[in-house]
Amino acid sequence: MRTRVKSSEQQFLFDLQQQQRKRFQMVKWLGVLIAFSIVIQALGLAKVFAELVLEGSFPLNAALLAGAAFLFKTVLQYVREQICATASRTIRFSLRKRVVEHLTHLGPNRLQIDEDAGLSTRVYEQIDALDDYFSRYVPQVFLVLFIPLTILIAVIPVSWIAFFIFALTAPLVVFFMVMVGHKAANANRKQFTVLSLLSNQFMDLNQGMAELKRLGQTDRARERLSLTASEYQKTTMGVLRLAFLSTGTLELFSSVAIAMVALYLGLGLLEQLPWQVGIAPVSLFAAFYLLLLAPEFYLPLRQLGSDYHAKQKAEAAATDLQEIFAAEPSDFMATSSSKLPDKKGNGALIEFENVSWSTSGRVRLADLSASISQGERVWLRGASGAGKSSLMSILLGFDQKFDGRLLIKGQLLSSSMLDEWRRRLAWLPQTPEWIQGTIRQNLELGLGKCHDADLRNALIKAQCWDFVGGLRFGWDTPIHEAGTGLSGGQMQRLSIARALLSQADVWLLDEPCSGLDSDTAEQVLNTLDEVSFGKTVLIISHDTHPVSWADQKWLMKEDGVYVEA
Amino acid sequence: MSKRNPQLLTFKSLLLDNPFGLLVALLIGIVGSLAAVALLGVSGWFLSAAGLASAMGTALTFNYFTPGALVRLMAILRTAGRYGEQVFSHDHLLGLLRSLRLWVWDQRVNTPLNQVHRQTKGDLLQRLVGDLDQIIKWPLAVVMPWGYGLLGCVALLALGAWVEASLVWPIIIYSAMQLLCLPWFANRLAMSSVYRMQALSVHRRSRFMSVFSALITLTIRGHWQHYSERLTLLDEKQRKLQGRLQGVTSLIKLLGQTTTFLLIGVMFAMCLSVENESLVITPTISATWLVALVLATLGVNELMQPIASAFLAQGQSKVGLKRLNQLQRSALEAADKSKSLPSIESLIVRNFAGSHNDVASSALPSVNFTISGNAQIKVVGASGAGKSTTLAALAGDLNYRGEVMLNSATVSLFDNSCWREKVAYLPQQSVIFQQSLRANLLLGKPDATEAELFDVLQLLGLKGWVEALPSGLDTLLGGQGRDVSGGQARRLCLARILLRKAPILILDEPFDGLDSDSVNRVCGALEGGLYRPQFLIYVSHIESALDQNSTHVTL
Repeated sequence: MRTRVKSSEQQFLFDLQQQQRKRFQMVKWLGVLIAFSIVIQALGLAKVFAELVLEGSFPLNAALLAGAAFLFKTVLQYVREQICATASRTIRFSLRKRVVEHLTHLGPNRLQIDEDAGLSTRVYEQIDALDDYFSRYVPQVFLVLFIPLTILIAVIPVSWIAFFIFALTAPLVVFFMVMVGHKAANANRKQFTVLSLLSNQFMDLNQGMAELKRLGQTDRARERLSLTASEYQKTTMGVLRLAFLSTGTLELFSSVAIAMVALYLGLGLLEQLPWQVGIAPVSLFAAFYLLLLAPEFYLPLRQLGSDYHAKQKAEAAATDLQEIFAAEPSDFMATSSSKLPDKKGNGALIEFENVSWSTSGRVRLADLSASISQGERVWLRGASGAGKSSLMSILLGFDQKFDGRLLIKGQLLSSSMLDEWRRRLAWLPQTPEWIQGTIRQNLELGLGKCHDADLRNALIKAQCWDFVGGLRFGWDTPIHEAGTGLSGGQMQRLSIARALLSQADVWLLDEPCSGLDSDTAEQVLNTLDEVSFGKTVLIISHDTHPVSWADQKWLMKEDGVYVEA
Repeated sequence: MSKRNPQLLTFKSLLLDNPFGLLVALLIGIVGSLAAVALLGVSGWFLSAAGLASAMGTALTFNYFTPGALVRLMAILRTAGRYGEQVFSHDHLLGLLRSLRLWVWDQRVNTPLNQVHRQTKGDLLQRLVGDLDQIIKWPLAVVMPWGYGLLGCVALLALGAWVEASLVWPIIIYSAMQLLCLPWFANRLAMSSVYRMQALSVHRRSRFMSVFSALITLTIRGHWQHYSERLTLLDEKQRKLQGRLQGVTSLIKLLGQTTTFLLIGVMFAMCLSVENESLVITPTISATWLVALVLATLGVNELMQPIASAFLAQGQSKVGLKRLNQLQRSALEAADKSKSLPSIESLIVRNFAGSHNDVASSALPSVNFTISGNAQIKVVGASGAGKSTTLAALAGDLNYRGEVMLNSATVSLFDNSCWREKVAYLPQQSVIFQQSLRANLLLGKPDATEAELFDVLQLLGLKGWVEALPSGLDTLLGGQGRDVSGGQARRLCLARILLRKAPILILDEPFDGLDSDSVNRVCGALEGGLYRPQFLIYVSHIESALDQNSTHVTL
């Protein structure tokens, strides 16, 4: 059986809900007022109806009471909706801020969760998928208990029979809800996953459209799409028929209860009840009162039923969002530096002392003890997966949970000096980082406006001048995500120009030549040799692209880093 | 729309996609909704009539069977209607999803390849999927509630006319208010916000993508804060817009309820007269029916609730449709090239240079060569000379300048499916589908036998790996090759291409990620063995046995 232990998704959603405890509390009180005004409205209307029918007169007081209750309820519902919506917005937008901040601290490690496009879906669509849960489901959960209870109590003084009809059907409703609902919830969940699978398939085939065209398989893919969709429609309808049974049950009980109350009251008024012929158990006023309350008794339950998918959607989204938070940033925001007191280093600019790093049993970086002096250029090579990129991540300040010590000019790298340290760095990864914008905007990224002369200088030094000058708009040519018309080598040169422009004196290069053919790679490496002279350089490169001009060569293996002369 | 004739998507075409399915759902829903209104109305009438009969002493002659049966019937109809509506409308929704997806697929198939690339990149595709999900809800969120509301009003009108002819006018005004004025008012108030919000969310996402793709550079420059603040600013704007939309929705609901309140007030006012300083019902009007009418009005009020938020769905669907139709516009450009090509004897390529339809490509040098018989060509050139571009253009992926003559007749290569049939092209980017390993390979040759598959896997040195997998060839691969290494993905793509056994084989860096044994095996197979093509055109920075027998063409 199901236990009351909250799943981690539920806990996650609950924690978010707690942030807006005050608002949700207010929503509860409004719910209480709404329940009361429902009862008062029923009282007033019943009085009006009864007198209208029996005496042909119109009790103005009762009518005003009912009208006031109706308007009051309407306004309360307006206010309640606004508060719920505000609470949901506050939760979602602050959560979004948190997620973006978290992703920022993850730095390069964010890509272990998903690509940027996928992350953007989580940040925007998935967080917005929580809306219905917070603005509709959560507030409804309280009403679903309170309103029927209020009505139940309000019915007691009028008719015991009606009270029993309500009191007996309510548990029955719950019982059937649980019985059918449990199955339906499972079915619903299954349907939800299948639907996202189908969505994935559509995305996947679409992403590979070019390849399918090349292979002449677009028609087969279309058939596949069509077939799975039809099949899915068939199976899902089976599932849905069951899933809707839970709402159907509610509907049935609500309808039958109204009908039962109406028949009981009608026959009672006619004094035709089989067990008490000749006696009217209720007055017409009481009869109307009960009839008006009957639908309201089941309404909250019905609404909860239709909002149930909101919960499912939210839980699915929570899974994805939790995954982001599960990837802990290990930069300075997360760790309080509790390392050994400073010890004078050996005067080198960068010094690794027994640096190693493993997360959850997996060795990400084997033992490293080495140092790089100012102006020294180091070539790092090794098998893939040995931890070369992890080392870069550490140097960039995105990972600080390693063992051992990293000294910068003899001082432990700490949060206070991180900004200053980072400003000295230039970062040239395998695929250069580009934003949408012109070449110039990309070169000036994070630097602010630069002088034309500096820009020209950097471009000339990086040997970009010729091809940038050949473009129709020069350095004002926009760079798109796709199809720039610039080759990989040219893009890499531009990123060298960017590094030059930034005046950084420590260059970190992560396989700048992979993806380039050997001629181009050699030329890029030659350029690097020229422009990086005098800078401190750590360059990762495969054996296929040897860095001949390096002062030190490090070889990274499974068991550690070997420093060659 | 479900057929292959591409046409613009409109709201009408959405309705007509499966009109029968929609109609069934709508009819069942109408029965359910009306039954819900009638249940209250009939019950109210029954109670009041019974009460009156009892007071008049005519209770014994009162026929309580008919109204009793009616009440029960309405209860059953209401249940069945609600349930049936859900089942049928969802069936319709799924059907619509299917045909819309196929529509998108067809548009994209007809779109020139260089634009398909642009659509595929980044988040555009994601947005398309989102738009589809939004649009399929349109009948459910807009059409159906409005239809139920309309029918509810008509029923109310009939009942009102029966009770007192003059009641028709307030009910007509009420209906016009609820069904026309309030939606129009909501449109006026919020439609621009809906559009702004949609535009803003696109802008916000591209900003996100742009900023995150340069995250590390921005962080180490210490300027991340500045850039992310602008992201937060966009988010803040979005939040305000959302707040405004939610406010409008609630306001419309409030106004709708107030209108109902006013209608009930007017109904009473018109049916009452002052007598002896107290209000009494006009003698010509039956009090029992008046009660039924008021209860029915309350029931109709419930029906009107979903209309308040329909404008939102309407606006979003409209934007979504507009975006989807942009796909169609680019698809129109695709010309029909259906005549099939003869078998190839010779191929003359003159002044040929690929073009990205973009900047910088005009600078690319052109190439000339002629091949006939069995020939191998290696395209060589400096970095950035456009080797890959040339191959892609030769394969029909890109536009080009220059001329290509097949058996001395000019042929247009770009996006020409007949040309594609002759070509097997391995691009630089490996594409792995989220299907089984087998399905991925069969894309190259749908009727390949298992032996053939293992043959080519053996050739590429993948056989051992596949056999070691617990499910072998049926192993499900993650999307975009997430479960396989770059080298494996590359080799799987090569295997797929080799299986095609097309007369022209175009390979862009085929040996990337292959060990030297495999390179030799592949060379052997290409030159003399099973997979020998008629023409081989390739680019490779790894030297291989192929180079010796190839004509080198320099860019």
